[in-house]
Amino acid sequence: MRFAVFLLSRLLTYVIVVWIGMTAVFLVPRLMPTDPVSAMLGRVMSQGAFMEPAQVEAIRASLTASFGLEGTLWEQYLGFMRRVFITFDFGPSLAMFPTPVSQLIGRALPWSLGLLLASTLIAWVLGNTIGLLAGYHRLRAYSKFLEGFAVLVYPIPYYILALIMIILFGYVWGILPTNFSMSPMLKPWTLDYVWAAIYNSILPALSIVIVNFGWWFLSMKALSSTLAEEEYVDFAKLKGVGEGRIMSRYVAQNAILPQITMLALVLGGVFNGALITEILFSYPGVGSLIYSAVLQADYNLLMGTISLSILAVSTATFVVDLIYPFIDPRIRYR
Amino acid sequence: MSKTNTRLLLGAAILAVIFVLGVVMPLFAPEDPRIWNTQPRNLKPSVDHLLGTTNLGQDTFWLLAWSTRNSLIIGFLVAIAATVIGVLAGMTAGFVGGVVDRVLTLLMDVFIVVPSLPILILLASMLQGKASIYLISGILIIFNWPWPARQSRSMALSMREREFVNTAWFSGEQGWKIIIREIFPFITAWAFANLINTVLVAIGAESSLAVIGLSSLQESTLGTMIYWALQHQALLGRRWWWIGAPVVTIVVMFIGLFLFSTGLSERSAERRGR
Amino acid sequence: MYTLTNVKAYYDSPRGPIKAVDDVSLEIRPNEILGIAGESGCGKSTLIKVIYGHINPPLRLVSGEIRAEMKDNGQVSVLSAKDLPKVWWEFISYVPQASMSVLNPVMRIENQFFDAVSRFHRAGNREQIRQQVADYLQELDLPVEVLKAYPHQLSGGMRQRVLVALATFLHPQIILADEPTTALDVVVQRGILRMLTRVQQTMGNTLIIVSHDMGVHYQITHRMAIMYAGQLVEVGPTERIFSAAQHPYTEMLIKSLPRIGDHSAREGISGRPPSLLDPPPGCPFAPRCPHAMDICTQARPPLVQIEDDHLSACFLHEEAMAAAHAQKVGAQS
Repeated sequence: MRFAVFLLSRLLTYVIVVWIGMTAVFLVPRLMPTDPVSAMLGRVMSQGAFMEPAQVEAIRASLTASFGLEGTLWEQYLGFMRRVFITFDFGPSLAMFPTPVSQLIGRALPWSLGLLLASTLIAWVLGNTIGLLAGYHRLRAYSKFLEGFAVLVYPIPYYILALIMIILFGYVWGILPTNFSMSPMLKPWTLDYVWAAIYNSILPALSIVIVNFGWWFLSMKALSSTLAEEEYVDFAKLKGVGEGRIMSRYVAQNAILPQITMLALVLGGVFNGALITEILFSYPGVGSLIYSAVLQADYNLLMGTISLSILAVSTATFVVDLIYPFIDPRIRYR
Repeated sequence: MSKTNTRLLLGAAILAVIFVLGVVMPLFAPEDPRIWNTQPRNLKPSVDHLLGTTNLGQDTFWLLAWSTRNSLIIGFLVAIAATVIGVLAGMTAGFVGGVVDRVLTLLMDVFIVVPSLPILILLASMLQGKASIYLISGILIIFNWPWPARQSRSMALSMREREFVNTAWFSGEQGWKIIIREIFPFITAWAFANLINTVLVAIGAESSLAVIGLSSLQESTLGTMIYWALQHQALLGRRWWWIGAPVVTIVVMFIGLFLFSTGLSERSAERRGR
Repeated sequence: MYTLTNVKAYYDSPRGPIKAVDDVSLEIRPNEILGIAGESGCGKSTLIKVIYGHINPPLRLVSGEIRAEMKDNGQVSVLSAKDLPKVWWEFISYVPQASMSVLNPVMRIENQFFDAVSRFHRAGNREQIRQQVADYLQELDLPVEVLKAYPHQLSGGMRQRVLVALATFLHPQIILADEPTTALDVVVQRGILRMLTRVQQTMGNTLIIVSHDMGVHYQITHRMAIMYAGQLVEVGPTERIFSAAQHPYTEMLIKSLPRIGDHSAREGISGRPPSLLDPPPGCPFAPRCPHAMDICTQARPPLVQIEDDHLSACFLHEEAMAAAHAQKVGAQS
């Protein structure tokens, strides 16, 4: 019963989050003082590409549709919502006409997911493990040294860290690629292909990992040094339980719960950071796609990628949030 | 001296240096550093040009001071407004309860979950670099009030149970008087720490936009300074002064803000513990 | 048999040593229930830690001897304070204060059992331990289902029973219980005390109960030690302590107990115990004692035998006066 209430309230929040996010995406172009269609068309034309009048008209029609300027406001709104949630059809890309937007996104999405998942997971696991040890041994020298490192690294924004990485690894030492570039000759999923993908992703992943590591380390250290003072930890020592088991079963298991809730809370921020990181490293993910959409005034692509981002982050947050009751016995449904 | 105080002092010292750079220095700028080609281009640091000059013929040091000033304006504008709105909303939710609480809590959850950067990018791209720093600040406020709101809501909930609030309530004092007299002093210490933290977040968000050229291009912030440096191949040309100055300033500023804000909140936690 | 001889255990603090256990000698006998009583902050919990052999910084054993005789398959081995952690739960075990947070909230009860007992080989493999624990719980009239439960699913009384079962599962020779019933209501409290005495009777081992509640001591202990400011001021059979207390502090503790049918206001104990950081030179109780004499602020009264098996430390006893005088003369010559 309690679980049903919990699930329902989370589901409701999720639906409202997505709805408000999408409504904002729908409204933003309409609140602009300039007519978006002419402005966009002007920008497309000024890119210098010669287009047949028929093509211009096609783009104008597509743009008008994209902006949802056909029919009444309400019809436009319903139409927009239908494309976001049901058809996921944002029309053809304007810059890469006539490739459909959904196809471009489909190509970029695995890259973004891979980068984001791998780096978030690595940072979360590393930060929590090392933070646990450092919190448990909070008086030892290594713990204080690591805290100093985390305090220096955590507040640095993603793009600054990415720039520092680019400067150091790419220009000063020149040992790692700062611009994602894979030869188109490589066939997918050969050993060389995988290696090139990893090799090119090292720096972007590393810069995301470092910033996130600082955050997870600091919060885990604070948590575990409080938990290490709990009565049940003292009592476990009196039971003669070994240090390793105390740390894993008594401290870590209690600290992991708030850390998972925290993951749900910061996911949006991590996504923002990854977006910028992708752009700075020209990583072929959704972030770079958004950027090229902005640069080339590809409105269809922009609407598609941004709707997708909001949908993806909200869903991921919702899913992480749902994990919680399954690992906390105190609120587990019985 | 305790660790807390070292953090607080170190943070304050760093911030003092940043304030001298961003608040005092711009008053002495010999020329408007935003204007291009007032100086010879790409000079190395010297007595005349402490940090050299840019590829666009600006004095890097004065440009840096000017950019720091604008970044600080955005940071504090957003932080003050977001903290005030957040604390008021959180207090209202916590004390009034009921439907008001549920609606406000839902709003907080929504704005925490929705990633701000895509929406900011959409908006900025519509404005095509004509967004003023005040408009950008306004949007950042929308995305930053929920954090202090969430925190002050839970503070309000716990305070509702406390003795001194009840006593005041039963002795017939008006609600707003209770809030001002009894609760505000309690919350200010924490709110100040949060404010400093929001300064950090806001400057970070604006410069994220700026680095990819989507912030105000008429004004100069630390982020746009990086943008122009990148646009003019400061990296390839190894003009470290140009790109390095804003990067180092942001790093130092953020470490200072972070140390100061955690130092503050640790100190107030310590005081409550006593 | 377990003896403490002139044990001093101090906490190191920046302002100097805190003398929580200051020159305590005590004999702990087989097959008895020994009560340790005193106000909070008198050092009784520290004494328990010392007896348990849980002496970690900042707590430090300054001087004195701890000697425990452990019987194992007919053989007797002699243990010192350092050896005790190796035989925790097997030779000596511990029942903590009833509290919500003694048990790990995210771990099933059975796993918290395994953690304590699996170190001992004779317990066998996991499945065997599970069966033995279940059998033992049944012996104690506890439902076997608690093993699968999480702490928050049990009542406060049930959690405390589980802790008692945990502490007695391996049949230790000594069981320490630190305020085992403090946070519980009276009915539950009585149940726990009955369980403790029953276990002690069946096993014939030693139960040491620490409590500030004289009522608890009256109900179940055989012998009592009264502690004040890190020192023992009176040790004797419980029934003698309650009928003929020797030390003025013990008298005050007993007077503060409510009695059935007596509605007159209770005499509380006035004043506060002295700081353990800088105790007064003489008898620590002198500042609060209604019978204080000059000598009480100058010399410390030794613990002397008043009658058979009954010791007290007060200058009101001639024996104490004589002993102090003899010590002084001895020191001068």
